[in-house]
Amino acid sequence: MTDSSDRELRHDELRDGIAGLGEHSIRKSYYPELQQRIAELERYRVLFDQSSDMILLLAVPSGHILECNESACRDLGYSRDSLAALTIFSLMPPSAAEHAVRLFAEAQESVLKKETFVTTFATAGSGNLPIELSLKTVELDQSLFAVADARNIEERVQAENALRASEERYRTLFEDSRDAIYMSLPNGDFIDINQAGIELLGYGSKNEIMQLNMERDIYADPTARRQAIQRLMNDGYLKDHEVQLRRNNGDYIDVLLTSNAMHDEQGCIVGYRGIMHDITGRKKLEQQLLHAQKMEAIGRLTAGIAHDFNNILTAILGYATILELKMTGEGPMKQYVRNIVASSERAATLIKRLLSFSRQRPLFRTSLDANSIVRATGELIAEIIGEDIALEILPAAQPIIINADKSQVEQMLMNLVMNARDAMPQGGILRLKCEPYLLGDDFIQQHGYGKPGEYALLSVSDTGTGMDREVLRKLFEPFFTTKEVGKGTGLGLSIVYGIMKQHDGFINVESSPGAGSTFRLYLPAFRLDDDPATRQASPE
Amino acid sequence: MISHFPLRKFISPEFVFGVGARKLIARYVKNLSARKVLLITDPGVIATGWATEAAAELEAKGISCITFERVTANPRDFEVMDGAHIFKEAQCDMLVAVGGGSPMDCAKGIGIVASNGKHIADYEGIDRILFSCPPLLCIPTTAGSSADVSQFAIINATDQRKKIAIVSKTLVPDAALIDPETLTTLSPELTAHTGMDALVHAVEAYVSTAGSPITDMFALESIRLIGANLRAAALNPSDIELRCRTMLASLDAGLAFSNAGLGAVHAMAHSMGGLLDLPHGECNAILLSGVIDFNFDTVPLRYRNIADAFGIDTKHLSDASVRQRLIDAVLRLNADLGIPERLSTVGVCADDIRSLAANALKDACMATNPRIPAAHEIENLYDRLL
Ligand SMILES: [Fe+2]
Repeated sequence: MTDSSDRELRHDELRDGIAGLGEHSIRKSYYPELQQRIAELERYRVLFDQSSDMILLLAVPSGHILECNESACRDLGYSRDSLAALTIFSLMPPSAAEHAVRLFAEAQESVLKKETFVTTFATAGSGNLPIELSLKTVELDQSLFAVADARNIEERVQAENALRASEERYRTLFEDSRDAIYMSLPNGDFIDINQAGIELLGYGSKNEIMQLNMERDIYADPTARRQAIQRLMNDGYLKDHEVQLRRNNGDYIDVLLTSNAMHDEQGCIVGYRGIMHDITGRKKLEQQLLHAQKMEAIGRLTAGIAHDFNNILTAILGYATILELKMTGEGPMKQYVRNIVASSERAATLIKRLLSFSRQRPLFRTSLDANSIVRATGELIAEIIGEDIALEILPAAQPIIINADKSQVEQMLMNLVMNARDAMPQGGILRLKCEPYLLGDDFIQQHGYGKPGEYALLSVSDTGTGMDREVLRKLFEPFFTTKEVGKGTGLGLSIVYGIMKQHDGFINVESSPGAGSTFRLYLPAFRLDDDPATRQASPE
Repeated sequence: MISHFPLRKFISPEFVFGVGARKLIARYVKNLSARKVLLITDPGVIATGWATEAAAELEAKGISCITFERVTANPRDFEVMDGAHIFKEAQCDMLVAVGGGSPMDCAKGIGIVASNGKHIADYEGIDRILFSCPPLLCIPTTAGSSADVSQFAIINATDQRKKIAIVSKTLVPDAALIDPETLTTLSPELTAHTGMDALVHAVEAYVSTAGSPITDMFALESIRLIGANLRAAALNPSDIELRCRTMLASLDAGLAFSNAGLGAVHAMAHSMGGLLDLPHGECNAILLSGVIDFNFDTVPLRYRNIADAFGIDTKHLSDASVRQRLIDAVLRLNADLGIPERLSTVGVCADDIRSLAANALKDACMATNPRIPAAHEIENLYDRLL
């Protein structure tokens, strides 16, 4: 019984199934599947709309916008419908549009590979949006379409502009710096240098300087660069490191170098950058000061010694004179005593000169024409220089009135002329010249000393052996001499220097080995409209 | 029975019936938005020219079409899988079947696999199809199978040597173009087999436990038309009026059995087709008298109505007489149509009966048979008809 009723139940179920009364029985319908597909499409639509890129489906070759995502509407400021009324070409600037038209025309012949370029899209608000546009053709249902993916690169462009502006600012900072700024390769070749640097080194253009090598062409002493680099490696940087450089015209300048190394991503040194601050003027001032102090000290010292020494000498001379008077008749003894007297008198003269150097002797100033001193000295020396030396005396065309101690100035010139003669053992030309000179700021800048105004410039030039830098540096130091022992006192140029100081003048020298020397004396001159009487000599 | 009106469903495809209906093929394909058609047919139909005509009509209207003709009678599972593969590969989007039950069932199978993947045998049973098949248009060229309007697809599962029934309302085609003119090329033999198949459809639908007043109408009308016209149609193949009547009979039977289900005849015939690859209509024809005899006492009134529709005057006849007259009429029709009386004539052996009965008992069609048979009863049925 149970068996048959079970069977009946199963049959009833089957019967209802065949009759179409089953749970899932329904006539053929695509709707459930359609809904599933629509949901799927919705998901793709979200993907499409959520892309931050603007995505357009285009007709080929007309360029009509068939579909667009939300980003396109938002970024371009159009509704979907109004965007769909446009062509992609109408959004682009003419040149880019032409390019796209050509691409689409070609795409009909053969498949367009993805083409990417940067252009702009016109927005509804008549702005221009910078974009990176990728175009690619696709075949759907045997028709050709194109997919445009436009990436908004406004931020990127802004960032690039900001970077450019920032670079500009730094470039300006670099170029406008009063200090020289440069970058160089490890081997010393220039990478870059600013205008101040070009001027500091005395070149006309950046191109010129870019051909040079710092170590070979700029450093006065090539080893100094290697030493500086060594120090930089040790300390990690260089701060106010003093080096001497050579300008284009051969002049030497002193600079303080602050520098560090530039590294690549691996940490290797790819170059150096540095700032150079010119301290040539300051150095010169320092040297002047040092020299003046030295002179002052020596002056005080010699004044003290000379005074006592003069007293002793007076005693020696006195007793020697008494001895000479007491000795009657000629004889070798009397000749010895005379020698003592003569030597003592020479010693007294030296002491006088020492005292003069130490300003113990006052100046006897008068207003006089500098030309007259030159002429008088010229006459005086004509006899004492050798025949193989040609003498040129070149006074100025007009009188140049100075307030000076005539004999002292003459003594200076004599001193310089003697030196010039000694510098020309093989003969040459000795030129003594007087000219008016207007001392300006350029002079002060170049030399690190001076006072603006009109000067009488007395120069003594020779074509002799010249002097090297080392000699020039010590030239005005007391007791410095290049002459054989006993031939010079080493005081000559120190005295010249002292006299110039007393006259509120300046002295400098230009010389190089083999090229002769020129000493220039600058003595303050009265301007023609100046009243000489109002110009007081400084008290001694 | 609690009510004379139990819950019943009725589904019919859109169909156009009449001479020249087949020529609407391109219109239907276009209206279903199809772009590439897989046209399923078989070599026999190719020979009649109907398939070629259909393909040419599609091409002429600019619709590309691939013809798949590797379909045999009792369509095999691998034929279905081959067709589905071609359908996918060629990116087809619609199925058109031109032919008898075999190409139409095969097309349904291809549709199932195309939409749902997996093997066709995985969909055996009732309501197993999840996704609707691609659009299917049927142009029947026989008046019998009614696969063009039915929810059934019968496929031969070759490795199991049995026919599987796939039953689902989603298998009802989208449209059928039922053109009696296509029957003019049908051989007398096929006319007989398919005609008897239609008669069995109508009879089984009418006695089915899943029947309804609607299906009854179609079933009785179908029986009436067949009883009155089948003999003549088989004798006069080119008589279009007769062809229209048998075609209509087949359509009526189809509408009835697709909604009401079948019975023991089909269950037993499916079993024979699967095991011995015998012609479906012929098996039905031989089995029908035996099943009437077996079922009669369960639903005598129903069989009396069938006998009436069949042209037997049952007034004043006892049930037993009605039973005998009806069985005689069926046997006489078979004989007139040249259909053998015994199963042994078509190649069934006594040794086959056990497994034939076992498979028949498991067939889905058995569920709606008015009398639920036991295995031995099925065996007896086969045995008596051997
Ligand atoms: Fe059938």
